[in-house]
Amino acid sequence: MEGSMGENVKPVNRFKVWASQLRDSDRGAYAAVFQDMSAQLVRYAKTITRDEASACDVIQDVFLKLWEIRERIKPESSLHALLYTMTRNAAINMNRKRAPMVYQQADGEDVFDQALAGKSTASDAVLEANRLAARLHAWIDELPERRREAFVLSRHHDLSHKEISNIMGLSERTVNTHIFLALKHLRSRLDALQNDNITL
Amino acid sequence: MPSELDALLSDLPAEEVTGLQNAWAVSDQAREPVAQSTLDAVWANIEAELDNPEATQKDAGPTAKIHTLNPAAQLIPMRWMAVAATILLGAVAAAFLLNPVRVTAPLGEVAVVQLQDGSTVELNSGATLQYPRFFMGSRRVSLTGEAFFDVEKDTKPFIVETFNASVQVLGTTFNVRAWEEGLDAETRVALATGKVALAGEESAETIQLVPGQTGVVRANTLEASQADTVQVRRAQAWRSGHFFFSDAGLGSILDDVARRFDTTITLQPENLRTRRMKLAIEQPASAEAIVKDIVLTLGLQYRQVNGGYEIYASN
Repeated sequence: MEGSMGENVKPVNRFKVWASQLRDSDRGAYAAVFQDMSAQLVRYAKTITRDEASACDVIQDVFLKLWEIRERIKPESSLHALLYTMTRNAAINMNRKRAPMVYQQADGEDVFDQALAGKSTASDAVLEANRLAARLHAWIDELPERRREAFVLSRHHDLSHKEISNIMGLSERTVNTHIFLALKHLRSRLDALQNDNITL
Repeated sequence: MPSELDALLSDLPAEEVTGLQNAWAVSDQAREPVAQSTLDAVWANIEAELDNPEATQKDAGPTAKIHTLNPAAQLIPMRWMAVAATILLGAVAAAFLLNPVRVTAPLGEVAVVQLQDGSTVELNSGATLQYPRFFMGSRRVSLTGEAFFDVEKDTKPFIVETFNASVQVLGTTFNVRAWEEGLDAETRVALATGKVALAGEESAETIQLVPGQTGVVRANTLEASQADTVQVRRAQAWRSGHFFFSDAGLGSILDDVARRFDTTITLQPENLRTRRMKLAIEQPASAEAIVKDIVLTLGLQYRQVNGGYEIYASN
């Protein structure tokens, strides 16, 4: 059950062409890159920011930055990988900058905590519990942060472990381990589900 | 499965490998779709920024404005505005001495009004206070919207009239919220200090509030809460630039956000206005920050529309 062919083929050549057109300030190429990459970059940013609105802000910043630095894009390096790296940095920065949204008061009432709890996607997941996709989401969410990120990049972005190691600044060996342990976790969840005789 | 895992898998029993392969295959279904409309909105922002960076800077106006809601930064300029207003009034006073004064806090800002008896009134965005230039007999003002009153002690009673109630006091501090439109059409009085008497326009009944109590007048009812100073503090959260609603209709909340940030927020479908929710946000930087929190909490989506936002139900 591999993803569709279109997603699996790495369009290296297209990106090379776009990179050189971008260096020449070609707005058409810029739009084409956005059209090609924005959905998956939003998805990736969302694995870090955890919400789509912030992920969209991240992607907006990334593309504005890309236009700013267009003349300095190196012909020999991959534009595709550059976008992932920029997205990762911007998303992590956004998480750092983001002020705690809910304010605590000394009186200890838990209304604020409840407000926070309302943000959790857990309740959505419960509503959709019968759908495998929702379960998979929840299970992937259970993974530790970096493992989740590595797994999503591998499974849903079709990146090689080498590319993931570059983007995340990890050794390839660590990426291997993350993906392996992530799969073991999902496998154990799937087994438990099947043992409970719940139809998928 | 990625070939990089081959080495790790080679030592495992075949059954284990099959299980992992199955997990790999199935997990493809967890790809999250991103709506094309969302991406279109992002692209529109990018193009606007590239084509006209100054205009989008101006769009950031409400964001800049809200910082002035921080009371430390805000109240001083507001007092100056009050002073300026007073000077201006001086010039035209003779003709209008007997006409009442109407002050409306501009959208996106709060305003402070100093009354002739020394009482002060802080108006939340969009609220209107009408008062006589000189008090004769009783001190009587009328309020549309939300305001915090700090009333000077005097033998003459001070009366705040709203669309459906009147609040009578001697010297106290209290918050009044009285928006007539929408589902939460009510006058809500939260008493911080002193004593007030609250009466509904249509009822002969009057209730006395003690500090910490909140009294509410709705269509035909008049009720007071248990004393709870926390609730009273929360009712004043707006004065410090916070947003706090312990249980309110989405419509009322968004009306407040729109007034505070001078923007428009529409709901699709309209009946989402009745959804009730809790919301507590510390000094939000922009209307969008609040909109984001709301859509996240309620599982909705939003997009920017000319000069404002539209919140809509996905699918």
